[in-house]
Amino acid sequence: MVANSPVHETQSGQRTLLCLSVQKRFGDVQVVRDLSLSVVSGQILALLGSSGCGKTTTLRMIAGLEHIDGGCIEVDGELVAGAGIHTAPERRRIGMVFQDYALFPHLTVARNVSFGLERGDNARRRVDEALDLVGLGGFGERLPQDLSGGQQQRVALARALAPKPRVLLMDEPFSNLDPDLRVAVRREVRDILREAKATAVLVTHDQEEALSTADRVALMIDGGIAQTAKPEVLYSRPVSREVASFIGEAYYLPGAANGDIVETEIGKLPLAGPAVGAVDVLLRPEFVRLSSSHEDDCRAAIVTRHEYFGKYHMIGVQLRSGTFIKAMTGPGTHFGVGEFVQVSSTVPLIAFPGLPAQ
Amino acid sequence: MQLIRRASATEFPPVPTPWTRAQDRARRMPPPVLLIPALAVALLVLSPLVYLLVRATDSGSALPESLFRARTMSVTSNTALLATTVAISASSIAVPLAWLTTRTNLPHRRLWSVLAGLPLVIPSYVGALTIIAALGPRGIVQGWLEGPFGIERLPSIYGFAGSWLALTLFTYPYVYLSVQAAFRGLDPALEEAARCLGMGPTRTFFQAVLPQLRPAIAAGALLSALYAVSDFGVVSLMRYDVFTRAIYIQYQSSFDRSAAAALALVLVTFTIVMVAGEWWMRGRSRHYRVATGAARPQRRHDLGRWKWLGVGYCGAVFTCSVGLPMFVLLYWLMRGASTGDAIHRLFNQAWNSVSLGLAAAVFTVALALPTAILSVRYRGKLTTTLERQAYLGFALPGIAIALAFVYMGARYIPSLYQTVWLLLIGYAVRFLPQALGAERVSLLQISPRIEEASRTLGEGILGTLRRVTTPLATPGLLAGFGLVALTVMKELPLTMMLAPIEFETLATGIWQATQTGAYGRAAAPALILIVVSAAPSLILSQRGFEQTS
Repeated sequence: MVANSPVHETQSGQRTLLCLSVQKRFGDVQVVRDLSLSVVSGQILALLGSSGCGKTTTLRMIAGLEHIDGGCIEVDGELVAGAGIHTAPERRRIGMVFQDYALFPHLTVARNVSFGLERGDNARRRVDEALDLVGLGGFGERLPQDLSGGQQQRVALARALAPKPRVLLMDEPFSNLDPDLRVAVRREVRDILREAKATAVLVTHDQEEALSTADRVALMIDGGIAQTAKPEVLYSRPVSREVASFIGEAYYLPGAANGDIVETEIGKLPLAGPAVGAVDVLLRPEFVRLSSSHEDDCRAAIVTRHEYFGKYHMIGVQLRSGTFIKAMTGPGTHFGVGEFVQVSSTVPLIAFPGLPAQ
Repeated sequence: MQLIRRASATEFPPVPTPWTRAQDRARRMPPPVLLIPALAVALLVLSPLVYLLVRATDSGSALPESLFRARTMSVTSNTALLATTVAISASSIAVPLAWLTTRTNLPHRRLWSVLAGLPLVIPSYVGALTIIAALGPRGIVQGWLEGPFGIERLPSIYGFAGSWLALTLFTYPYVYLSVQAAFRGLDPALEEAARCLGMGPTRTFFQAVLPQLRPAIAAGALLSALYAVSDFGVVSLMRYDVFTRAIYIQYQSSFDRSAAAALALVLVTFTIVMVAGEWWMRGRSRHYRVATGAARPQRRHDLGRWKWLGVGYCGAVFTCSVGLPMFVLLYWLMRGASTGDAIHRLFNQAWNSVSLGLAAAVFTVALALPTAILSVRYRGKLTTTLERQAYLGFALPGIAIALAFVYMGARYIPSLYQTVWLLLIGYAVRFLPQALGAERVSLLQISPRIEEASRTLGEGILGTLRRVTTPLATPGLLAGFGLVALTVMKELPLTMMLAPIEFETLATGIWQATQTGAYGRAAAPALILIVVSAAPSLILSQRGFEQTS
C-alpha cells in the first residue's frame, strides 16, 4: 500500500487505479523505477514530468501496451499486470487518448466513436451521447481529416469515453493544439471529464496544464514519483529541492534555522515548519517583498535586472553575499537597475537542509 | 557563497516526448507466424544465387578457364560499354526534359511531363523490333529513301548501335522520373541566394542547381544502366554479344551447364555491384535533399522565344520513343492479314498473360507480406537483414534467375518443372522487391498508435488487423499488386525459359514472331500489351518513383 508519507499524502474515496513499485527497462536503461501512484474514483491525476522522464511509458504500461518488468498494477481491485499476469489491452477496459489522437482515418467520426462498442441501437445512442458530451453532435458523418485539431481531439475523447472505461488515460492531449486554443480546450475537457464522472490520468510536461486541470499532481523525475499532492500543496510545500525547482521558479537563500525562525543575511524570516541548523530557504519570486533602501544599509541588496510583463515586474536582485534571487512586484512599483532595496518575505518559508559547501 | 539558481520549467518548456528509438527497439520478439514464412522467402530468394555459385564452381578448374576465355572478355567489355553509353545518353536526354517540364513555362507543360514518362509502357524488345523495322535493311526508312535518293543501304542497325539506341530510348524515363522528383524537391531559396550573390541564370544553373541534382541523376542513370545490363530482348534482337545473350546461347547450344552458370554468375556480380552503387547514391542523395513541401512555389523560367525549341525537343523525343514504335506497330497491323486462327491464338495469349500477371501478383504480394510487416513493426537486426535480402531479386537479371530455376527445377523438383508454378516462383523472386516496397510504404504510413488505439478500445490482435490495418493498407497492397502484374506481363526471359511448352503469352508470342522473321505478327500482341499496361503503369511508375526516391 502507498505509505502515508509526505511524498504520497493520504486521500479518501474508492481507489480505481493503483500502481505499486512498477519497474520498466528498455535494454540497459531503467525508464521507470519504483513508481507508485493511486487514483480515486472520479478524480483527475496529472502525471507531470520533463520529456524523457518515463511518463508516457507509465501510461502505456497502465493501458497494457507495454509489459512491466516489476511491481504490479490494479484496476478496480483487479490485478491487470504483475506477478506473471499481463492482461491484454483490449481486456482492461482502460480508455486512452493518444498524443496524435490516432483517429481511424478510414472511418467517419461516428464509426470512430462506435469502434469500441457492441453493435446495436444501444451503440447508436451511446455514440450520440458521447458526441453531444464533447459538443460535436451532428458531426458523426464527417471524416476525421475534415475536422480541426481541437475537434479531432474531442472526437478522440468521445471515442475513448464511449465504452465507459474504468480509467481514462490521456497522453499529452493538448500539446498538438495552438497555444491560444489550448487553454479553452483544457477547460472544456476538464468539464467533460467532470460531467462523465471519469477517472483520468493525464500526462503532461506543462506544469500550468497540470496545476490547472488536475485534482492531484504526481511529479515524475527520472522514472520515479517525486511527490504526489494537490496542486496548491505541490507548489507551496514541495518536499524536495527537485520538486521546488520543477514547479515554478525557485531561488534559495542560506541561513541558520532555530525553530520557526531562520536567520539569514537579509534578517530573520518566518519558517512554515520548525527546523534546526544550516538550511536553504525556498524563495519564490512572488514570496519576496522589496522596499527601497540605501547603500549604507548593510542588509540592502542591489537590483541587477528588471523585466516588465504588464501585469507585474520581475526584478533580479543580487544580495551582498552574491546570492541572486528574483522578486515579483506589482504594476505600480518601480525599482530600477542599480537601486538599493531591502528584501523580506510575505509568507512563512520552506527550508531544506543546507547543501554541503563546495 | 555559492550562487544557486535553477532554470524553471516555464523558462525552458521541454518538447513533448516523442516515441523514442529506444522504446521502438525494445519491442517484443517477432512472432513465429511471421518469422518462419519470412525466413523461407529469404531462402527462396537466395537459392538461385547459391545454385549458380555451386554450379559454376562445380567443375573445378573449368571456372577460371571459362572466365578468362577471349569471348568472356569481349562479352564483359561489350556489356560495360553498353551500360555506360546508355547511362550517359539516357541522362543527356532526360535532364533537359525534366527541367523543361518542371521549371519552365513550356506550353502544355503538364501534358509533356506525362508524355515524357510514357516510353516505360513500351516493352524494350517491342521497341527494338520497331527500330529494326524502321531503320534495318529493307526497313521503312530505307524504302522511303530508295526511290527518290537511290540509297540502297543504311548503316547497319544491328550490334552496338541498335542496342544502344533502343535501350536509351526506352530507359531514359528512369533518369527522367528521378530527376523530375529532385527538381520538385529543390528549395527555390538556394537559387535565389545564388542570384543575390551575383550569379547569372546560367551560372546559377550549373553551380547551384546541377550539383544538387547530381545524386538524382546518378541514381537514375544507374537504374537505366542496370536495365541495360539485365535486358535480354533488345540485345538478342540486335544480336549484340553481351552477357544475357551469351548466357542464352550457351544454354541453348551446349550441355555444359557450368559455362552458362559461370557467365550468369559474372553477370550477377556485375549487377550486384551496380545495385550497391545505386543504394549508396540514394543514401547520399538524402543528405542533399531539402525538406519536402517547400513553403513557396518555385519560380518557372520564362523560355520566351525559345519556347518552341523546347516543344520541338519534347516532341522529337516523344516521336522517337513512343511515336515511332506505335506507328510501326499500327502500320503492320493494317497491312497484316489476320486469319481467324490468329485471332483465336491472340486471345489465348492475352488471356494467359493477364491471368499469369494476376496470379503472379497475388503470389508475390502474399510472399512479401510477412517480411514487410516484420521490417516495419518488429524492426531489428534480423528483420532488417531479411528485408535487405528480399531486395536481392532486384539485382538478379531475369535470365540468371531463369537459368538457375531451369536447372534446379529439372534436377531437384521435377514435379514443378514445366509447370506454371515454377514460373510463378521465378517471377516472385524477381519482383518481390516491388511488392515489398509498396507494402512497406503503406504499412509505414499507418501509425502504430492507431493499432494501439484499437487495442485499448477492446479489439484483439486479429480484429485490429482486420478492422484497422488491412483497410488502411489496401491502397498500398493494390499498388504493389498492380505493379507486379504489369511487369510480369512484359517480362520476357523468365517467361520464355520457365513457361511450360505450348504455354503462350503475349510476350512469348511476340518473341516467337521475331524468331520466325514474321515481324508483322508481333504487332497485334505488342499493341495489346502496350494498351493493357499503359494507363495504370504510368500512374504506378510515377507514384512508385516518388515513394522510392
